[in-house]
Amino acid sequence: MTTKVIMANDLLSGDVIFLSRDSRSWTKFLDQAWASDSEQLVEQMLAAAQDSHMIIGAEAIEVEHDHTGLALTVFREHLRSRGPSVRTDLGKQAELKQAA
Amino acid sequence: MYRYDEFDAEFVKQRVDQFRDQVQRRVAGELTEDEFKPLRLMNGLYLQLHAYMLRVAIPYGTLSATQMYKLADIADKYDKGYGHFTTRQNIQFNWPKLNDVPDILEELASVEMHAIQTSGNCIRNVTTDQWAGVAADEIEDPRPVCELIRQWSTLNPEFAYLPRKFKIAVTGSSNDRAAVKAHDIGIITHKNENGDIGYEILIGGGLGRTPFIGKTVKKFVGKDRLLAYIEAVMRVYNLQGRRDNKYKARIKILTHETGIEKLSEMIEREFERIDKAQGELELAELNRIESYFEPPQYSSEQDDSTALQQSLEANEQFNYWYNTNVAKHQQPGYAIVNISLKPIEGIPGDATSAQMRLVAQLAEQFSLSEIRVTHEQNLVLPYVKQADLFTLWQQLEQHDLGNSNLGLITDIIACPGLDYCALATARSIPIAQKISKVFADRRKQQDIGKLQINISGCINACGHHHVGNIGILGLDKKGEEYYQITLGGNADENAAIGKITGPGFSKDEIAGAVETVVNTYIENRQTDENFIQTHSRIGDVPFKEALYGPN
Ligand code: SF4
Repeated sequence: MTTKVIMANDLLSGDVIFLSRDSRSWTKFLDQAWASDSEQLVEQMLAAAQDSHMIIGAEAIEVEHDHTGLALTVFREHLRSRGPSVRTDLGKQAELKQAA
Repeated sequence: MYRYDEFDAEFVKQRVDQFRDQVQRRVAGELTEDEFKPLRLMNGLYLQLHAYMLRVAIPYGTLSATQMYKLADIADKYDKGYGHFTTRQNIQFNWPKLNDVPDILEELASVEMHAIQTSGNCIRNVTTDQWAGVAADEIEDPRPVCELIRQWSTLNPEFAYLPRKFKIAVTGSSNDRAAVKAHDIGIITHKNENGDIGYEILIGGGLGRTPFIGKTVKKFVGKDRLLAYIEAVMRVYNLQGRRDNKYKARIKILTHETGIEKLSEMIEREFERIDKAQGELELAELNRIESYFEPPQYSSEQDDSTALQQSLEANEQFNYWYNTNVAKHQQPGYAIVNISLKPIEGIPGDATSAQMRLVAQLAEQFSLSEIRVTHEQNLVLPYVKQADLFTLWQQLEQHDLGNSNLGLITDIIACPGLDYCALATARSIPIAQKISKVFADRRKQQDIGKLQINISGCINACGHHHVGNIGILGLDKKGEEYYQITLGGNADENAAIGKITGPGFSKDEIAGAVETVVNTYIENRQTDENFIQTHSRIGDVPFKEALYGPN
């Protein structure tokens, strides 16, 4: 069984976003993302996301559970969830650092 | 510099208004993303890994100080305080917000800039030698021809939907600094035995998935028939190009599959059909454009003034910079200053807004307010008096722009790769950073001499790895980044496609592998031989053995 999150870009900001735990709003941060093992539920959520005109390129993306919570399994998606590895002062990784 | 005419100004303004309306309709839900995407791409707006990216055209790499100030302002006001100069002499902003883009385009239009034809299957920004109009070895300033092609190709309805994107490059010198042989059409300026200037036309060059070096299709076409000939090439390509397969749609595949002789006959037939009287008008237009590119009023200066000599003797660092980054100018007493955007462990081609402003200010102070962008992702001040070099260098040094590495191993060309690009299979920038760290020592770089490394983060080859003396291609192997090395590529007049050495290397191994290649060159070189000369003399084998062991 694979766990998946819904990942997309916000139309206005272009930011990478995740469907959040309330399964209605969107969040920039993976640790606040909605995740499910149910294929059917994932498909429903994905279809709803694809219908929203304020969201672009919604996809269901595989995650793992590790000691920090959810973790993206593909390096490309991991980078998307954080920001450029060569500019750690930019992107979500910078916001996370500030918040910490 | 060339200035927009009323037509240019009006159409750019209309495009901004149109795009503002399109953005509003997209946000209101009246346009779907599928409908909107081609419209935003036509205006240079991509969606990348982390955000939108706006690609702004810098026609033939020429910028005024005013335009550079504007780019710096845009970087601060709408982006994150920096921009990325690309291998196509353009600039990219990595973080614009959708609703801001029409305002950015309006600001660009106020300084005669835009982002049109920086995407899509059309004729893209025409590129040229960054030393155009000032190079000591130049036959003719190539910029009027570039501008003629820009005007003819901009919004040309006949060529708005080509089978694929189309890139044209022009060199005015026989020493090719514009990589013309790696373009769909390459134009080389010649002077014939009668002293007339004309152009050799090459077609079918290109990198990407299937790299080819361009082939000569016409040895000499006069000024009055140049545009007609390009038009003939475009017509044949537009009709014959493979629209059925994206990967086979570039003119390089058509050239390869049809054969240059047969294609040349088809082009010649089309060429003959184009009214010769049209040439008169084009020549008149070319003459009009040329008047904008008249050489400036140079002051009377002497080469190698005593003051310059004294500064060179007194300051070793300045001396080193002078010898690597300053090129010979066609006017006595003047110099071409190359500003490297490749600090050790930096991001190739990135400039902060403060650096952009400094370059603009230095251009005003020392270079008749003009700047050039190079396909190697550096900047140039084309009109500097030799007497000003020391003062200029001191200011560059203070702002981290005095990197003395032009054409050396740390002057690495690298595309954005997986750090920014949605199409990437691996990162490019960290590899460039690691390699530049390995070769950071100035004396080591100087000892290695001229050596071009190019890195691409996927097979699309925006980092032009095929024509790097050492090329590096980043790929994905079962979720891990790994890197293939090619050797023997060359982007100049002796253009060649590099050959893959063998199995790739992991991200932790690749800088070491490059070091092995360089050490092999050092062990085998003869006096005064640079890397590419040694490689062409000894071939791939010694390098392969050093990398993988015998056999
Ligand atoms: S080569 Fe690939 S990774 Fe690099 S900029 Fe081009 S498309 Fe992106």
